[in-house]
Amino acid sequence: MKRREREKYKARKIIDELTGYLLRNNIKKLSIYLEIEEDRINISLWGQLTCTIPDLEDVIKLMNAKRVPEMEEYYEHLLGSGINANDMNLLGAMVDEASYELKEDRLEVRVTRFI
Amino acid sequence: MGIISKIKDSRNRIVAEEEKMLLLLLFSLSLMLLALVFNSPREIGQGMWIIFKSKDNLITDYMALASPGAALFNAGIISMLSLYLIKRSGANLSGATLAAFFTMAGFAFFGKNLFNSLPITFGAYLYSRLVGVRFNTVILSAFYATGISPLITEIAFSLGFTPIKGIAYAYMVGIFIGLIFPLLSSRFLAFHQGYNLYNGGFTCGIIGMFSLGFLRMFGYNIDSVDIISTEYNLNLLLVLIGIFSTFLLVGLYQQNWSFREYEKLTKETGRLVTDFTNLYGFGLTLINMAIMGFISTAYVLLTGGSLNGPILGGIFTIVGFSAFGKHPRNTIPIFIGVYLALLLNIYNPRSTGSTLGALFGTTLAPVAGRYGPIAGIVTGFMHAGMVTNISYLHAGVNLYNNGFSGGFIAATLAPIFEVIEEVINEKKRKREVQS
Repeated sequence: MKRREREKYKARKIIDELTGYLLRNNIKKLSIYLEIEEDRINISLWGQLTCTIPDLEDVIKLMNAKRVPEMEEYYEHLLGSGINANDMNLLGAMVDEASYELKEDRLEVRVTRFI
Repeated sequence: MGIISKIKDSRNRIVAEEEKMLLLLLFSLSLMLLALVFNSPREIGQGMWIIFKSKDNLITDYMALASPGAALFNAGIISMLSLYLIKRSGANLSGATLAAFFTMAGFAFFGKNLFNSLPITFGAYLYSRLVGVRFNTVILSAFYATGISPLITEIAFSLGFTPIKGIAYAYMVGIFIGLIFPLLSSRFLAFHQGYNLYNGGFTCGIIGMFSLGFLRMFGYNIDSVDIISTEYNLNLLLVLIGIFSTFLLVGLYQQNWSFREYEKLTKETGRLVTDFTNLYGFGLTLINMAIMGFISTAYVLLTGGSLNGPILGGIFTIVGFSAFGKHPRNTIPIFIGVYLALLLNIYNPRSTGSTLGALFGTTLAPVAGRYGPIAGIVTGFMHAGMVTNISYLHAGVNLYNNGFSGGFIAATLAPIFEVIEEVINEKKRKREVQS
């Protein structure tokens, strides 16, 4: 698989994991935006919160931690595979920047992965 | 899962990387220097030659095959080379890398050496070039794939080829395995959902199973061996105490002489991927590695086992994975489960094979971490049955036999425990509603 195609695959896995995380936290009307540029992948997910997400701050911090390239090839297939478990540690190892915005009950999570 | 409790800032991280590198360098050098305590340089050289050209499938203790000095020197060289590749590739010294590094060091006491590991590692490097990814993204595969390295020695020297032909065929096979390993290992994760920490062992087991099937089909057979030393207990105990005490002191120093957050660390499930260095910092991780080293050594001695090359390999692997998922709360139930099985079954619980089953059985620690100690004991018990039965498939050319077995156990038991947990939780919810 060419590098560009691999990046598309990784983008799918990142979306899988984030979608699972938000659904497990009972978010409603989830929308997804994906943009693959030359040097980065931008992903945004937004929806309606039905209750607070207690570990959201921690998850965002984790995703802002340093990338861990050695985990990517080896463990990437785990991303998004957990039914009742999160793989946020792995997600944190694969993305560079993350932030969130909460306006009333609308939550938006933004993630960037540099290529 | 336990979400992050502590993220170091980027400045701290860079300092920690240098400190980690220095500690691993000292560890590797100390193994090489300790070799001189046991044997003279000449004896070590002769021992290394024996190690290179001899069969080394399970269980071949390099301390018995050659000498304790040669085994320690071999472990030192493999550690140094691993460290060089980590540094050269630009990989981080994350929990995952620490686990792989100590696995390399540990298995260099019984099966891995430069001759049989290099072609496999080179194959993984070729893969990174062919696919166009940096070598640091496949460094874990480059290390874990060497679990199949006894196959290289077997093809080179034991299948009746002339030495040049044998080595050429063996190296072609080694490079091929290194090439396909990164593709296979990440996909096999889905089979056990990250509940088997030694995923590389499962992958090597599958490759070993195919290889042996192929060889047997053409009339070649490989027999398991049992070359084990038992006479270095006290000396090796002192070595282990020295290493783990150093880890503990360095860890405590980095943690300002406190065990702060250790209890929280032991509440992590340990399921892949749980990187303690990222979640709790290097200091606390090192403390956990030291504690797990002491507990593993205590298990061996309390159950009447002997300290030798393979056992050192088992202990060092546990220590490495104590940066990446293992802690007392999720490993002790596995120890209990395996030991219970050994007390009831036909095998000698003191034998090196049995003790290895318990040590490496902790590959299943995430099951105990996720579903509780009773599930952990049941898992350990089941593992003891599986691991003794599965090595025929690869005739010991897969050094990570427990990781192979662990994959099947995790894939079978985790979904069952999941359903049991859901039923129990549902009943609890109904009771709460009624009351």
